[in-house]
Parts: sequence; structure tokens; C-alpha cells
Amino acid sequence: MPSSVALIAAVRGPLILITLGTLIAIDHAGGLRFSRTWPILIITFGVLKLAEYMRGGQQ
Amino acid sequence: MNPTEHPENLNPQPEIATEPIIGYCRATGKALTAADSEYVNGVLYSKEYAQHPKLKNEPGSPYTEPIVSVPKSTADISPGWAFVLGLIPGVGAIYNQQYAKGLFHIIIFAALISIVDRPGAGGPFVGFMIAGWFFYMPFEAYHTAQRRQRGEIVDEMSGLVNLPTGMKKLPVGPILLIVIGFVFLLDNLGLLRIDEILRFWPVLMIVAGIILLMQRLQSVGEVKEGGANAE
Repeated sequence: MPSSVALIAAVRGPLILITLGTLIAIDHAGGLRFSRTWPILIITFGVLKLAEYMRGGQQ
Repeated sequence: MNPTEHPENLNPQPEIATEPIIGYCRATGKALTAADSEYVNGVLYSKEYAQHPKLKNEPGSPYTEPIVSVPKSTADISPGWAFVLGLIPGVGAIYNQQYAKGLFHIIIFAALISIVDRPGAGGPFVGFMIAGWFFYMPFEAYHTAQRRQRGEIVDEMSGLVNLPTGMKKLPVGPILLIVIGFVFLLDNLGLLRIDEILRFWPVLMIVAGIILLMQRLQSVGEVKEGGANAE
């Protein structure tokens, strides 16, 4: 459905921002350092892009 | 309440129109029935007002006006500037309004540098990759800017994934991002060592060779089939 593609595209920015915030919060809380967890950002972006493609392919 | 009773009869109004009113004239505000109304440029007018000469010059309603695509001005796109800005990682792509690609450029560049940065790793292969990537970015931006100048529509990830036609459907960009992300994550968490994997970089050449070979064989097969059909 095109509407869900638009939805995924719309929530991509906020979701990446939330992920970034979470990773930095974990860093500050003394957990895993951000220097070790940053690839999660790339993975999140890739997964969202992939979801967009899949939805686009289904219509 | 009597179900057959019409609700309007509860609140009686003077009956003016016997026919149902379909709308109101845009100019005079007169209530119109289907018989004495007329559409001019998609806007409803009364029959008499529709003959008005002023209507000929009236701009169309923005709601009904057919969509005319305005050709984008390409005068302010300069391939030279794209090249110069492309020397800064990611900025050339941003100049071409390809923000995702700009991010991708920066990530690749940062990843290569972080591989070289770790002690006892890297070596000439990664060094040459950095040099190659560094010069790839401005040239890529230059050519994208040229294509944009010619008014071609440039895909967001253009130039990054040029695939054989059969694989166009595959979302290669996202999959590549996920794989790269996982490799770096595993490396950062100490579960996998990138420099161990990089020892096997010649495998990339073999894979590239196989892909090229398959492409050639496929195109040869298509030519043969086409010839067979033409006969």
C-alpha cells in the first residue's frame, strides 16, 4: 500500500533520532560505549529502507 | 414519530425551487438547478453568467485546474561546483540533493578510516580503497550534476548500485547498509575481526568476475533467443 510506504518514510527520521538518543543514553548510563554501538544506526536505516521497498513491491 | 414524515416538514421552509439545487453560482451566488447551471473551467456558474466575456480571462480554480508540471530551472546547477564540493566527503552528493547518498558516502569514508586507524590492520588494500573512494565521490557528484543539468531525473541512490537489469527489483542499497552495519557492530563488540576478513579481499575480485561472466552469458543467451525468434 502506498500509504504505508509514506508512513515508513515519515517515521524514518524520528525513529533514527530515537535510536541515536537511546544509544547515547546507554553510553552515558555507563553501559556500552557509543563508539561500539553506532552501527545500529546504519542497521536501523537499512531495515526501514528495506521495509519501504517491501511495501512498495507488494502494491 | 411517523417514519414516513419527512424531517424537513417539521421545520417548514418556503418552497422556491421545485428542482433540487445542485450548487451556487460562483459570481452571483444564485442557487442553481441542474437546468440553468453551466461549468466554465470546472467552476459552476449560472447559465446567463457563463456567457459573460469576463469569464474568458478568468483564472481557473486551483482545485480543478489541470496540473501543469513546471520545468525545473537547471541554471543554478554547476558540475564544477559539484566536483569541488565532492572533495569534502558527502558534500558533493548533498549539493546534488541526494541526502541519503551523502550520508552513505560519509559512512563509507568514516568506516574505511576507522579500519585503517586500528593498530596493526589496514594495509595497502584499505589505503588504496580510501584514495579511490576519495576521488570517486567528486567525480560521481560531477556526473550527477551534469545529468541534473540536462534535466534528467536522478535517482537518490544513482551511481551507487548499477545492477544488471534482472536484479533491478532487489533492494540492494538497504541490504548493503544492513550487512555493513552488522559487520561493524560485530567488529565493535569483538565478535568478528574486520582485518581478519579483509585478508580475503581477493574473493571480491572473484565474485565481481563471476557476476560479469553471468551477465555476459545472459546477454549472449538473449541475443541468441532474439535471433531465433526473428527467424
